[in-house]
Amino acid sequence: MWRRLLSLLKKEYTQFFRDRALMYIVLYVFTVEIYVAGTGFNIEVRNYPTAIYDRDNTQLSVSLAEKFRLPHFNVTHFIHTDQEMERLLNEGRVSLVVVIPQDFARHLAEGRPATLQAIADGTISNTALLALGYVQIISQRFTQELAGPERPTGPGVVYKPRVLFNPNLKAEWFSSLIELFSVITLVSILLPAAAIVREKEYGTLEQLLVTPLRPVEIMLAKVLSMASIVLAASLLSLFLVIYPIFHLPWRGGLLLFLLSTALYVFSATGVGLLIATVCRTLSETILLLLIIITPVLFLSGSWTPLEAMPYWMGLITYLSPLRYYLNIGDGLLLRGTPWYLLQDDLLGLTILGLLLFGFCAWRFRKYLG
Amino acid sequence: MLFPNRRLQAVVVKEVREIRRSPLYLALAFAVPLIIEILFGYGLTLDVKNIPFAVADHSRSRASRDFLDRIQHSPYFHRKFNPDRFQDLERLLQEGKVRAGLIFFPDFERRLYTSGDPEFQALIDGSFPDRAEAIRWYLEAITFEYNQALARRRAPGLTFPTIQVEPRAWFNPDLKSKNFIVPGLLVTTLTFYPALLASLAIVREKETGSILNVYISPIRPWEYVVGKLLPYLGIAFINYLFLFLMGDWLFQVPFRGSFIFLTGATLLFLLATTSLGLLMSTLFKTQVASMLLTTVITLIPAFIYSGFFISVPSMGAEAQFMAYILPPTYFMEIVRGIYLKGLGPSFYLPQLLALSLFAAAFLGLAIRRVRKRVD
Repeated sequence: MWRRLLSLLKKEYTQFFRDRALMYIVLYVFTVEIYVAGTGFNIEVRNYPTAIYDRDNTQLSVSLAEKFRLPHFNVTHFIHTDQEMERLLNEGRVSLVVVIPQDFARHLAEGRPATLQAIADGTISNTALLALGYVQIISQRFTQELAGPERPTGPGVVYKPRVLFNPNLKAEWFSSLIELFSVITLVSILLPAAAIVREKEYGTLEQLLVTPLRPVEIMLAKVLSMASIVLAASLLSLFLVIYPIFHLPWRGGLLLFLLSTALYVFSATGVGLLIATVCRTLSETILLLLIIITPVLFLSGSWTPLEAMPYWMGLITYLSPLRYYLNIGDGLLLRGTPWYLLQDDLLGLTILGLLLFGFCAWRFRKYLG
Repeated sequence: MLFPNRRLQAVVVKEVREIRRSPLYLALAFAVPLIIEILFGYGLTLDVKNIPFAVADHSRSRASRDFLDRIQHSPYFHRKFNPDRFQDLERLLQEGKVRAGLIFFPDFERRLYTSGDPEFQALIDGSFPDRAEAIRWYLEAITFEYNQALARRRAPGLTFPTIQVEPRAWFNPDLKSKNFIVPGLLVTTLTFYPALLASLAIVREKETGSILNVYISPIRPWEYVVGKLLPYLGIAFINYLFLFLMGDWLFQVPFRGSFIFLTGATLLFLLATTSLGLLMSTLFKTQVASMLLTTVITLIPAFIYSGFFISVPSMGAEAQFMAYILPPTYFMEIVRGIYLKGLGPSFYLPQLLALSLFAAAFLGLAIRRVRKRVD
């Protein structure tokens, strides 16, 4: 059995490396793509294009306006009319207009509450919400400064936040890792599915079946070759991009990470095999892939938080291996979590992986038999 | 006869027949975008809410409970654990079970009323930076409001400088996520979907060898490419109509602009993305390669660089570059403008021009790549 498996493996590798274009694409996906996604995905409010509409024009209003600055707000326009405001927002040139009304300073001096209008472009509602929240913070801090250090009303609570694991909130650590996990998912479902359907299209699958090879061996060869390629590529992206360029701190856990990646890749290739049993042509394959990959990629808590989802949707994510794998990956590489704290996810991934792979292998065997 | 050009018609007829031959393909071709829209329309939300947190309340006093009440009653936080020891907070954070751990020290209340300024500590999980930032701000705002309420209770006569922020959101006053996600999905789906459908059209014939029949026939390259293009453009256009109707009926997203403008802009965009798929199809010898590269350059970028979740000016320089060399960024501006701002074509001339250039370039390159000879 081992000899047959080995020669089959050799065939798979030869086939993969002979398709130079495919090889370079896989290389690109695991390096350049990770780099670009790492620098790009950043939902926080950064460089938020802002206009200041100061209708008060006093020392106080100007010093408040000065609080709006980088890295959060990029004040590009100082405007003086309502028409200008409307035009800038309509054209999408700014996403926030801070309006300081006429009697701002007078109200504050008289001890009356002053108002501050913040008008955000609501078309991207999540960043708008964050920006509006930050305007609130800025104005609160401003009033605290005005009140001065002495507080006649006695002590108050002092807020001491401490950010763990990523104290400077570097977005690239988060986004490059998420991109890596997404790419691993994509490639390990797509490559084996495509490899098998291609053999079907060519008719070479039938040739393989009339040889003494057993279906299990055909399947194992596909899975092992693809899994090893994905693992090697993941190492490449960790040690070529994520550690050296993004300076992700070394937190150990690499061995366990590789093990769980292997496990994850196996369950993903299982899905790929399952797709391959249903499809006759690659055109069909690609549609089935899309319907599986897009929700798995974007709804497993990767790019978007699980806790904000509707409850029933959150339950469905327990069926996605990526959900467990994400927490393991983030835990080991970013949070430095010791393995015993990840038991639940490791167990979930193992069980789901075995079930998926087992089911798919069974279907595949039945299909070949 | 449908087309004035008989050779072009022959390619279209052949391609349509091939598509119709597979019932699975045909069913999926129309169902996939709808399923994606339903899943994403309900499931995709970036709102920061229900953030799971844990509290180690060593004060166990009225003051700390009052403070916690304010946090719990905000929609942003959801209390999950009450561990006794501080170490347990850190463990829960490492496990990824909570995103924040709050600490009240034993003398919280006493200091608040006597010696002064008790600390309220918050450990925040930084592994999701945008959420960490939001958590940090929300807790700061809650602390501020708590202190103000306390001061007002203690000295009712005294006035403090206060600024009331009147937040307002134009175009989407309730800041509903679905109002930006559903039009955004129209853009992302129409980016990767037509490209992927078309990405196999030509390379399939190369792999099976039937392209040799094309080489020896009198057909011209542009007729071949356009003939391949039209059926997929047709499928994508029907997908667009479905997606639009679903946004209207199922998700009830406000639509303020002109349907005719949207349809025109969409046709232009579909021409660009379908041609991109065909171009990929001419570049490679194997379907796998074409399919993988098309997925990579359309699926993830459509969501990340198009300005779907993040406005393009907030991105890093490399990502902004990616955003502007890919068509969906321009189409996203147009679609959101039509849906939420109700603006007409005159506002979007540069974007329309960019889309036309993309369409012309992709189609032109694809035609050039089809050379009728065996390499």
